[in-house]
Amino acid sequence: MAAPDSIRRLLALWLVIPLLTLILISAIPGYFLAVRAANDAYDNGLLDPATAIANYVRENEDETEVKVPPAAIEALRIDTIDKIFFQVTGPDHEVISGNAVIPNPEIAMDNTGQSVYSAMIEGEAVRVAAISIPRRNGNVLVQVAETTLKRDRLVHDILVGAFTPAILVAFVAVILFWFGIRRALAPLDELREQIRSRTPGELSPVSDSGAPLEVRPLVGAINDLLARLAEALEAQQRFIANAAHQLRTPLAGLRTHVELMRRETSGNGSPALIEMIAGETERASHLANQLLTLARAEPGSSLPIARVPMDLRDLVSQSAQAWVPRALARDIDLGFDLKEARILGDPQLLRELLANLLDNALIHTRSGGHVTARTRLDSGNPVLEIEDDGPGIPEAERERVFERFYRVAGTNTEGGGLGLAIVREIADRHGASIALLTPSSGKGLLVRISFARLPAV
Amino acid sequence: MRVLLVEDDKALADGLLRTLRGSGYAVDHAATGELALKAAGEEKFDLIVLDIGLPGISGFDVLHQLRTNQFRGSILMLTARDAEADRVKGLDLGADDYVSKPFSLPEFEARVRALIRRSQAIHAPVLSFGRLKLHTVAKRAQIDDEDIELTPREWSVLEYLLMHAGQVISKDQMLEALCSWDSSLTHNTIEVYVSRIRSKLEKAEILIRTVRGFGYMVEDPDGGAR
Repeated sequence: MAAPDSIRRLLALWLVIPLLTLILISAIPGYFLAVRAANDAYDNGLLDPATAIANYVRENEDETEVKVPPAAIEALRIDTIDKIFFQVTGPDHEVISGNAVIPNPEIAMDNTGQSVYSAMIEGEAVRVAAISIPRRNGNVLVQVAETTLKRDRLVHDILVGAFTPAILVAFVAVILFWFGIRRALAPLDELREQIRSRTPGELSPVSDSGAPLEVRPLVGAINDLLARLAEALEAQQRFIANAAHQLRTPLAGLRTHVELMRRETSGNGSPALIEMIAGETERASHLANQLLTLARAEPGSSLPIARVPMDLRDLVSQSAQAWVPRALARDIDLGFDLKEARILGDPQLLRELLANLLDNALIHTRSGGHVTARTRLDSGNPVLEIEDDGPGIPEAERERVFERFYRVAGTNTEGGGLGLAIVREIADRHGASIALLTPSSGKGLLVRISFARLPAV
Repeated sequence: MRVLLVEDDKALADGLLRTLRGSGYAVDHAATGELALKAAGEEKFDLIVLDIGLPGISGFDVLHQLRTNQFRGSILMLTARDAEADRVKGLDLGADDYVSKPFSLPEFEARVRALIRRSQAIHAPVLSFGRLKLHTVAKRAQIDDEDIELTPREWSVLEYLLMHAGQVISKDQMLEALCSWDSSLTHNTIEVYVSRIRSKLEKAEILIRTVRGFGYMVEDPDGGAR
């Protein structure tokens, strides 16, 4: 998989590489200018010894003679940096005098009979000054050659002098680019942080204050999406609320009528049919509640869960009102053992969790049995426990009971099979753990929900 | 006792009307918030049973309007919604109690009875619980017109329990309500009073159940059809 394009890298490539290339390209004419300046500076100096030697060219009748005094030759050697060569050739290119073989000029002499050019002697680059002296029987050519060390040094000095600042400027520019890019991309980092730190339910628009002009359309698009998402979630929530209303009202009507029917027939022995309808109505009511709770509690639903400070003890006390009569109707002793256990949670979902646990316990406990709801701190962790002395759940099946619509073999069929699945969803969303244990009495089931400790204020 | 039932669902309204009339209340029915406000403006009701999910004006608006118009009777909300906030909002707007759909009929009846009794207690000096009569002004109790001896503290505990008949009452709740006359009241002293009251009420056939680790529940002697 190819690494995704990085704006940082793209900007760096498109700024730094062209900059360096441009500096290099600008160095090429600079180099030639430097070479020309160096030659201009030294070429005149090279013509002087050539002129001096030309002055020693004597002409006899038929012979050209060059007598260069040793002092003059010595003078040619004074130059400590470069080696100097000279050569005098006659009209027929015969060497008259000299200490090296110097290539002839390939270009035409100017009208003064002088020329300066570059050549090679014994593999060394040299600069040659040539003077042509007209004679009767042809031209005598005086050449003085000089190696190019001085010139190279000058070229080098000019180049270094001219390009050191340029390279420094480039270096500073690269550093500035780096900071500039970082600075320019900082709003993107900030934006990322702003979005990443959000909870799933937080759908308010992202702030674009401080975002540069170029990023604003992106922020706008994100906000647009967030707005649509919020709308969709709101629609979903409305749907759940509506569905709840639409389902629950007729169910309430049905329950009322079934109860009235039961009372009217109670004098002459309640027919099994009515009892069955009553039972089914109860189940339908229960199931409707559970499904709606599940729709809200499921992680996928992304409907926000509240995290408010609350006490499990209060939660259980408040539900006593609803559950004690139900337990009495089944001849089950529902008792409480409530101590302070403060958590952060969604009271509505936790009420549903508790309802499902109590419902399960009541369903699976025989008449005359006991169910106890307990809240306490278990070595610092807030805990909710529901204990019954019913048949319990075999060890092997304890994990599977959390699956939806799973039922323990051989149990009565009153439970919808959703109860513990709901308990798990709600516990998960609170980051609470569930344990199915055997009570200390050795009989029945103890469900323990352990919550995270309340962060210290 | 006059009751106004505000519920738009025909089947549920019909069932509740039959239930309430069966309990001996004079019941009127309004299917919309507008009709409910009109009825409440024209007649005096002791209790209004108010559905929150009404077409047109919502139950919350009706509730607000009723309390703004100085309606002094009790209001029982019927709510089909899940949201905790809705319940809190209803109670804040002046509802006295609520039941969540789909409720069971006995639960509904218990709430109605409790609210009626509370509003009655303000007007009527004598309350009946089966064979037991409470003379709320004189603070006397009678079983079959025979006085029973009660200390003032026992009387207060008994009155509180009976005013909440059919409901589960925690000892904390009792402490909070009764500590105005006795700050030395504790869970243990409440247990002592309740056990004395139990023995004194034996003949009245009023059952005070103990809810283990929590409190009490008095079986409503008037529960079921009247």
